Amino acid sequence: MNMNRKQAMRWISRSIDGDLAADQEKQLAAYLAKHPDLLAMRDDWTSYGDSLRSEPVANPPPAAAAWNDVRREIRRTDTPREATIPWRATVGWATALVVVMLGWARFMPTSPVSAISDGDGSDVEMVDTDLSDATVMVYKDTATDWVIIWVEGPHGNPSDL
Amino acid sequence: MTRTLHSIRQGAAIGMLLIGVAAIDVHADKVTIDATVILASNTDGQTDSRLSAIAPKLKKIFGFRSYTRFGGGSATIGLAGHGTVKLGGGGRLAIKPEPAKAGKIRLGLQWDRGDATLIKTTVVKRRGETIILGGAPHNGGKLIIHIVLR
Repeated sequence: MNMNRKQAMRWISRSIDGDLAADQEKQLAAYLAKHPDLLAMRDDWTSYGDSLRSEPVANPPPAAAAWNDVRREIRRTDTPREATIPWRATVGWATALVVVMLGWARFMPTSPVSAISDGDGSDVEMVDTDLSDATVMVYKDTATDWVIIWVEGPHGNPSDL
Repeated sequence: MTRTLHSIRQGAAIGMLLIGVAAIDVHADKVTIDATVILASNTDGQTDSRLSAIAPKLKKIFGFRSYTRFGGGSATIGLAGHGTVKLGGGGRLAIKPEPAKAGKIRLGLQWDRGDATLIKTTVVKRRGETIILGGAPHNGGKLIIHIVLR
């Protein structure tokens, strides 16, 4: 096989990597013997590799520590927006709430808590009668939406009042 | 600091606006009470033509055979004021309206006849809604007050 310079350089690289077959190593050695500049180049490459491999390798940080670093960096870059804009909006809404509550207390009448509710949005707060032994019934007719308060005598058919 | 003060001013403006809306809703109007007294009985099958609008509902709810207009009246009363509607036959309905939450009206109602209070109640209703007071015996039937809040 006629080796040229370009192929010789490829084979030098493969030789350093240990990928050349024995007969190819012999052919490369024969070629390099005739081309001292390429031989010097191969020695330089070998030297560079040995030098790099002899350098101490820094241990990478654990994955969890790396993620913590990423999150810390995100928080650091987001701090100005989170620390100022929501706080300012909160002040505004808190002020609105206080003003509304003060206004509500000023304008709205006090009212007792509902005592009776029909559970359908209409409140009957209180029912009473002077009729002795009478029963007062409260209900809502769902068909008409009427609230009905009905007083019934003790025997269901009392005399006229 | 300037932006913070701006936020406070904005919040105060929103609050005042909401209060203004609530105040208008609470204090703007009077209420009108229409009270119709009805004698319901099973002795006569005819129904008063003046009650044609509500008679079907009365029949469905109470089941009496006849309904006759017995009396009634109307009163327009300022909120937080009070008034009375004469019901006929010595009966009267005392009314005390007040503003309540969410645009409703708290209505104090007292149905008196002679010296007796038949029903005294407080209800919270919206305009256009109906309240029925009833059950007082009369001439073998029952008196019913159909009350509409306007």
